Amino acid sequence: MRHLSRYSAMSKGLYASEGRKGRKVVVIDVRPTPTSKTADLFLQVTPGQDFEIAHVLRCLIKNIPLEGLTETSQIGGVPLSQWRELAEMMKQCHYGVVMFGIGLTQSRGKDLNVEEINTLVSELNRYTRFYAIAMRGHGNVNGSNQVLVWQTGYPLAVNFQRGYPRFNPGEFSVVDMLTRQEVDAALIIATDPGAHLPQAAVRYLQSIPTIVLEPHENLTTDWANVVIPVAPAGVGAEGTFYRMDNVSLRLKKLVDFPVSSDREVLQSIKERVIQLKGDLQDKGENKPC
Amino acid sequence: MKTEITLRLKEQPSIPVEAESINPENLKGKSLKEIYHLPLWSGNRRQKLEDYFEVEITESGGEAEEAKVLQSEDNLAKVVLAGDLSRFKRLGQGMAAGEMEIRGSVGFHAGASMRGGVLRIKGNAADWLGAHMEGGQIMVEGSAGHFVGAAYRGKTQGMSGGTILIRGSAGQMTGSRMRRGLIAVGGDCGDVPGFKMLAGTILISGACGIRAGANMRRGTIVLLQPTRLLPSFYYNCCYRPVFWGILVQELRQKGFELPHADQDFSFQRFSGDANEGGKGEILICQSN
Repeated sequence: MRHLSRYSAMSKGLYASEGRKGRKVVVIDVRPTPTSKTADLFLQVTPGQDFEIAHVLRCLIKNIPLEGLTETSQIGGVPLSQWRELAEMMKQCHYGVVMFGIGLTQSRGKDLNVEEINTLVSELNRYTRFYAIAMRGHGNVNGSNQVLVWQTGYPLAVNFQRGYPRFNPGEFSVVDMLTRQEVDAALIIATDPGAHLPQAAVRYLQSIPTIVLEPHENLTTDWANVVIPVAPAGVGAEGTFYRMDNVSLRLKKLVDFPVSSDREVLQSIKERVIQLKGDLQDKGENKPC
Repeated sequence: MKTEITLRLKEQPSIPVEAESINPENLKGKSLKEIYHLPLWSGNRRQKLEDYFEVEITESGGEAEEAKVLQSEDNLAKVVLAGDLSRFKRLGQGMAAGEMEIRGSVGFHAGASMRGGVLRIKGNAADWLGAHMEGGQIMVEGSAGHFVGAAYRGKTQGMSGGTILIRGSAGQMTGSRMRRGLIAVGGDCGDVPGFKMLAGTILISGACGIRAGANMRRGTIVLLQPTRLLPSFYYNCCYRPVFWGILVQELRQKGFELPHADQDFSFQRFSGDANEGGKGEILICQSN
């Protein structure tokens, strides 16, 4: 709701002075939600059809005929006529934004669904201005993507084992590496794999040495081999936060905590590792981890 | 005189090993000691081939050679790997000539960026088999994982030549973004074969997953089992393509028999993907 009132549906701007009145909100979801109740058009779709929907919308905006479909044919549980109506709305708006959630990446097709949405948005820009924004689940997920991109060129699933960054989701992503049992130790920072990862991945994680940097007690801290308490970011430690629309925000430290921040802990771990490895040349350097 | 270099796996490693150094060209003309010192990567450590394999060099067809040093010949040595190599990635990566036989299963990227030669895998292959392959032939007796002959993420063109023959089934995104070449799957295939395909041929003998040929620009996907296509594929006609007989014959010559395949099959031709220009074709067998 905060998103709707402050950033998307109701916010007022130079070219949208009427706020919600001057906007059209279309919600596509598998079930009615509080957001869908406020929408101008709600399309309740059947799960797992995201790729087909985006694919058909691409055809509709370009007026490409569709083989074997009539106006009453169902695409993702919604008649084609309604998709045609949506395609017209998208083409005729002045400035459209597709905000897609995690559900899109978890249904059949996974990353291809996102690729198809991006292609749809790219093609819509032939007619009007259109954007796609990924709706993030947790705070500052975008932050880790941003930093990885400007340091390595890749946003996630980056592997440094050969001394240079390599990128391949499916090969170097967390869930896959854990389920294939390809790692022999884990350092976990600011996340709770015990709550989020599939059962097989968690079971394997429990069987290997696991170090957790975490300000709170959670489902991972119970069984991790080492838990290092750290000051919560934005409360006990300062830093930069990336909002999901890629705006960077500086967070100040509000109160003093008796424990160090993530950065300080990682710094001291790095120094100790260098010392143990006897790398005297790097020992004097204080590069941030 | 024919030289055969056999690498026997001592013990399966607990974490994956990257073994792009094992290919016929790299082993050619090397002594046993040099072969044992070839680098392999495990985790963040550089290790030696001797940590994982026992090597045996046999020479046949000529006088018995006592010296372990191989003569440089025009004919490359045949490399044989034995054992469950599913933890070994990048085997035969970038090989350009010679023959490599793997008696067991292999890990990721087997035969990736291969330019020539023959890679035979007697077991199963994992993901990215023959990714960015440019030439040569890969033959898999078992099944293959996802992204066979595909392009790595961020790349626009995958496999650009050569042949991949899989007797078993293949995973998702088979031949995704492929540019040229042939992929034949004897069994079933996962979702989206030929995604964003630019050219080339994919043949799937068994059942095919959903969204076949999504966003394909050109190229041919031959499906011997009926499947439901996306609405951006248009029915053209039913015909007997001339190339089908030639393809079946060529596959037979390569030792790849298609079950129940007949040279006189007739196919329904669908052109698509209309979203990308519609110059690709999907042929669905009608006679089967």
